[in-house]
Amino acid sequence: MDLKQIYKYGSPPQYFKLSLKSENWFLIPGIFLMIIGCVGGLFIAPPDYQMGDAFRIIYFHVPSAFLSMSAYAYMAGAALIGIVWRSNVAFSVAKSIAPFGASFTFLALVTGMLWGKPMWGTVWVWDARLTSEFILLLLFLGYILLHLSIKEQKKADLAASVLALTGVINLPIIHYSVVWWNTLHQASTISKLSSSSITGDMLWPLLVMIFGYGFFFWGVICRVVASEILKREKRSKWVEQYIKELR
Amino acid sequence: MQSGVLQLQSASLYRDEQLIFREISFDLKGGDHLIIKGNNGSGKTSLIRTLCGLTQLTEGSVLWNHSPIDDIGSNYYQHLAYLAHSNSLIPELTLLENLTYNLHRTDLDQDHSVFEEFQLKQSMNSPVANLSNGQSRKAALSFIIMSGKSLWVFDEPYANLDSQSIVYLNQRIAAHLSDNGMVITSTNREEAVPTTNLEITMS
Amino acid sequence: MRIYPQLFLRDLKVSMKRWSDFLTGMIMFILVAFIFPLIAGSDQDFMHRIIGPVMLLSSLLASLISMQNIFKPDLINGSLEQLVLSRHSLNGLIFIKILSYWISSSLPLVVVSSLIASAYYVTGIDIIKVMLTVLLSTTTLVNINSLAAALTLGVRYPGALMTLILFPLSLPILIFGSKAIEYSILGLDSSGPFYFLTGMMLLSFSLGPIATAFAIRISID
Repeated sequence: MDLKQIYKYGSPPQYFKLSLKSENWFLIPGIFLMIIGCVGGLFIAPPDYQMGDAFRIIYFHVPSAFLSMSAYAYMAGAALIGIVWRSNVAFSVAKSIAPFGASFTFLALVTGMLWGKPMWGTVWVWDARLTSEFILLLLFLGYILLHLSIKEQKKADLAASVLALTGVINLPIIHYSVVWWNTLHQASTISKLSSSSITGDMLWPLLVMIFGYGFFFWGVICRVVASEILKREKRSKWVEQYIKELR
Repeated sequence: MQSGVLQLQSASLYRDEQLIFREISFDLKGGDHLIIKGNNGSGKTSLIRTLCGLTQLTEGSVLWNHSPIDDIGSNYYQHLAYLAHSNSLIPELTLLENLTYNLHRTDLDQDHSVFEEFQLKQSMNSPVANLSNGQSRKAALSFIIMSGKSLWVFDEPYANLDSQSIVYLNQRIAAHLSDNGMVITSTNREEAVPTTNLEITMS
Repeated sequence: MRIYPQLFLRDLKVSMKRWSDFLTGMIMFILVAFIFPLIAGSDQDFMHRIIGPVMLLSSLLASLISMQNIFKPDLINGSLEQLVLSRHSLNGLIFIKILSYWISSSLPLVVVSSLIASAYYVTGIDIIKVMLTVLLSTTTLVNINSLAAALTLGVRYPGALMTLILFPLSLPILIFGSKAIEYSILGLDSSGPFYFLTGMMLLSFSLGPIATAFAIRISID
């Protein structure tokens, strides 16, 4: 029995049970941390001496942006594992991450624009981070649409994974070329947010929020992966048995 | 002719959980002719494509000289000549150009008598797009016959062929087999096929 | 080992027969370049400022138009499968295919770009630099495009999807290509962007064929 076979046939039921079990281990701490982070960020942290209360949106913007970037890395990692071992589970993970990664990227963009309104007086500034976020959104959309437009599941998984890997090779190049382009046009505006100007009681809710988002994300992914595995294995015996047990 | 052994071991293919074929096995040695019979849509083409390594099996394996063909790649492909449904001819180029730039051409066998037998001599300089279906089919068959490879894989070789060409094709297949070559043919026209020792019926 | 020149010549010959595809790309290239002075003004300073982005944008659109057909006809007539069944490495064959496609689709653009540069009041050595930029950036664009084309082989209307795939991946080329032309015309040191473009060309020619070959194997399965 070679490795390929083990990954292909041995694991889906185990992974299905694992992700159902671990769902709450991520989801509950995630929600808990997010509540603490919200309270800390919205009520306890002092208003910024320059931006007033408007700065509080960073408690949503920064974790979303952070998560969107790492979600792409997770997706590409899962895609790589999928390609190397032809693992259906890994492909399910990559496919499940994509829409949530896109959503968090979108959230980061929207909160960035909301923050920009009081800051810069306009919703969109051609700032390196916002632009990179936008490009990340396009990469996610490319993956999702490519997956949707190829009929056969196996082909769609493989093709979309190749795209995800190409994107991950290109992402640093894209990011740095955007940063380079941006520095030619205007001085970096966000430097105010750099850690030196953030005080401790402003920082801890941010960190709590970042962890909360991360846990929440993985909790949701666990559930979606479980349902994706169920969908892909719908004709197999263990699913039949599982459904019987539910009744 | 130097030959090998082609083995298919308990091969199954699913597409999106849909069964195409399952549990097919055979051994093919020099001098063997395998016929794959079955109606349209019975999975003949899928089986042939897995034998060529174009489609991956869901279960089972294709072995050439006891090694999986995915691992040995070019060691297998240097023996394989494959005639697809489409004739793999470039319609913009003439027949002669298609021959000149044929990637599988081996220079050992430059005998153009095949074209004469198939009555293609006078069409050598016309673009393939202007040939009739039967003529393109015969041209593609000639390239396989002239390839000098030991394993011929035909997907519906008798489609669009006139009776004279069927006779000639069967002659060449018989000659190839007696030269220790191997042939795999899929067809739904059973009357055209010579009798053989190996047969698979798909359903 | 004669198969590589053989495939190269075959593809060039086929391209000559399919000249209308490439002509469409060329027309796109010229039209995009000529529409800006017509609608946005044509004084010399302005033209010098926009020629960089305009050249890159028109290269992108031109290659997008002609590249949709790099593998599709071969898939339909069955010769793409025969490439996979060759005893030679598919990566090498695809490299040759991309190279010959670059020659028939983009090399004419390099020549034409000199005329466009003159029309944009660029003079002397700067014309050469504009041509060099178009040459370096189209090589990378062709590689990214061939990957996008191979990934979308099974899609019925790949145009929009290809654009979506292509845009983020080609952004660095567009940025640095524009800067290379801009710096050349302003008389600044443009070696940085040129080094970057050359690096990207080498990177894309080493990874592009491998990724494309893999994508083709997936698509013909």
